[in-house]
Amino acid sequence: MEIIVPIKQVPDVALNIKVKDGAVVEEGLSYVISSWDETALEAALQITEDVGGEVTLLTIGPEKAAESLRKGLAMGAHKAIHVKYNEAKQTDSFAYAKILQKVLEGREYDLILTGKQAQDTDAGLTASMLAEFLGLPQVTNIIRFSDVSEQSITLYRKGDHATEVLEMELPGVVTVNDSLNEPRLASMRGIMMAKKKPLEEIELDAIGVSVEMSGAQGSMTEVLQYDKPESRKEGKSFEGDETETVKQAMELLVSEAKFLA
Amino acid sequence: MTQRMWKNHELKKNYDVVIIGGGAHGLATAYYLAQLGITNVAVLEQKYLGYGGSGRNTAILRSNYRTEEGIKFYDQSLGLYEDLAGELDFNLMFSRQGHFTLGHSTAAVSGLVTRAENNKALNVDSYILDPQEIKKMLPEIDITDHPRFPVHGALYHPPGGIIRHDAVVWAYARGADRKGVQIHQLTEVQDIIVDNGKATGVVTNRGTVSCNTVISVVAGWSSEVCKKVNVKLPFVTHPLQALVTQSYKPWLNHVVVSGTLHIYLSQTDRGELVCGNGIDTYPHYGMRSTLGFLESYAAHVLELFPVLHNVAVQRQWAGLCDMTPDYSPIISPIDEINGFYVNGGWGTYGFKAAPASGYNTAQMVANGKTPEMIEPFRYNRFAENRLVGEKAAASVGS
Ligand SMILES: Cc1cc2nc3c(=O)[nH]c(=O)nc-3n(C[C@H](O)[C@H](O)[C@H](O)COP(=O)(O)OP(=O)(O)OC[C@H]3O[C@@H](n4cnc5c(N)ncnc54)[C@H](O)[C@@H]3O)c2cc1C
Repeated sequence: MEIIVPIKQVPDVALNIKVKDGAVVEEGLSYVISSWDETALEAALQITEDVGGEVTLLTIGPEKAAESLRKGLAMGAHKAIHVKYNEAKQTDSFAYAKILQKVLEGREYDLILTGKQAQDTDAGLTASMLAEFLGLPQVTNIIRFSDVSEQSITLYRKGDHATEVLEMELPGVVTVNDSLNEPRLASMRGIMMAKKKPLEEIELDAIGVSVEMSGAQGSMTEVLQYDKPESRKEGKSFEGDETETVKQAMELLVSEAKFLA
Repeated sequence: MTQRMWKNHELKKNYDVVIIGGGAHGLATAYYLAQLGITNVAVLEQKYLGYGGSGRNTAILRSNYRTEEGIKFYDQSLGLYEDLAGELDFNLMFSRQGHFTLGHSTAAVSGLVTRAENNKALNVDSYILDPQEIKKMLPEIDITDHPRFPVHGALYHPPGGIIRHDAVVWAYARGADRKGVQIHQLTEVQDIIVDNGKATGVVTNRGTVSCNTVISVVAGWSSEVCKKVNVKLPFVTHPLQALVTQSYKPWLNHVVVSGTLHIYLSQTDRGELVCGNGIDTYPHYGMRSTLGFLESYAAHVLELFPVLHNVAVQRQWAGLCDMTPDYSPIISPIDEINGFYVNGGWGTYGFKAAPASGYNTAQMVANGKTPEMIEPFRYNRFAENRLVGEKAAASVGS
């Protein structure tokens, strides 16, 4: 089973991300693999451990994106493809999907497995567009899979009142929900071995991606600016004797918050 | 009713002593000052207590240093740590598990022999073990000649160990608070006011405070704070990284340090392995962790402990270290500015020093006289060529 796992390197959202003058402040950002993509990688590793085969990571991004590939290799992926790309800021899902299509055309694979959306944009479009461009079937947002063979895979999607069970023919595109699994941590040996695993670097023109297809020109949408989310009003805390503070809190709930009017 | 570990206060207009920095050293200084009856004291911390090295270190304690000055000072600190849990009524989880410094060449072992002899002369328990003896105590270690740097011997220091670093910070904070010290978090010192050669106050984001004494206890930020009073001391700040693994059954009963391989590790009571390297080679204020650190740590630790190959790395982080040319601290009044003291230069090794550092700094400020114990750490030593060379004993693995 040959599995391609496209991953995106995103700013670590566990850290404080600041917005200034309509743009994200780069300084102090730290970059990680988008968490849904990590879930996809874990699923891919489980599948190959089960039925054999190899997992290939794929990312489009600047020099520093190679770190995320090496982290994925440390987790256990077999090889990686780095498409060198410096126009991430102007690029939307459509352009990413087009580039991915170009990378994957002519390659052999059974399954493309990735996150249901990227952690930075939350758009959730790239994988679906890619499936369209490649003419492959797709199932999004799975919470479980079973019965993996070279020909097909069974996929489960959660609805409000029932779980949908689907069988998809391969090759195909699957996106994962983070409830699917708990991604493994890299082991000491994994970290050490990652350095020796194949990491293929690709320039855009080598795969026939023209200037018109990438960056702002290749994108259908444009981000005008980033606004700060409205900050929450500061809460009120009460200190001192419990009977007193509870009374004060109750009074404010009635008089100011009109909560218990 | 829930009780706070320390109280919040309005910032007063005046204190006798302002301590800049809410790490273990600043808080210990406040605690011991209060013990001497000086309680009109404010600890000003730009972020939260333990934001600096005190909340990021790997908590190795020991006193097997190289110079007479160093050994005596760190041994006093270890002695204070011994009784600290009782004194502060707080479980600090001090685990005296013994400390190995491995030597991977004849030259390295001979350096360790010097340290063992210096230690013994000053009643610090520390001696040399050969590879067979090491293997008995660390059954998983590879002492064959397979590794690139085979183990030739070790300095073993039974009183060394590890402690719970956050607990030390919180316990000193609570102790100081109970004695009347005011702790102010989210209070950044933006300037220091000097009038006629005397420090008379500080400017903070919460207003200006006047005082008689200002003590800078900011470790990795020491150059920045000294800049505010135009004092240039030989601090250079480097990042230092660490990592922690998932929890495993207890298997490693001692702290292990290898200077040659640039690594160290210990196992906490919770079962995690706490691991670190030497400092990042470039000066920097960024506290970012890197993949390069993970790769180099993994490669080196597997040379020593091949059994660790499947151990999973849980988390990594970085902190700042204020290195000095001789790897010894600066604890000193600054002659040019009356009432201004500097406590810094704690590098990669300062956590173990917090009690003695706080204790002696408090004595120095309260009595207006530098205690003999820390006299060697005056800043003039660089101009006077009296370095306290601890590089061989202080680097890697703190
Ligand atoms: C990864 C790592 C591992 C380590 N391992 C060990 C070890 O095993 N053993 C050991 O002995 N030592 C170790 N150390 C070193 C040790 O952590 C430090 O030497 C020690 O914690 C320094 O304590 P401190 O209180 O002086 O400074 P810090 O704990 O750094 O506190 C300084 C405080 O000052 C504050 N501050 C700075 N500027 C201002 C300002 N302008 N206004 C207000 N506040 C300000 C900072 O926010 C910070 O909280 C390690 C360090 C690191 C980074």
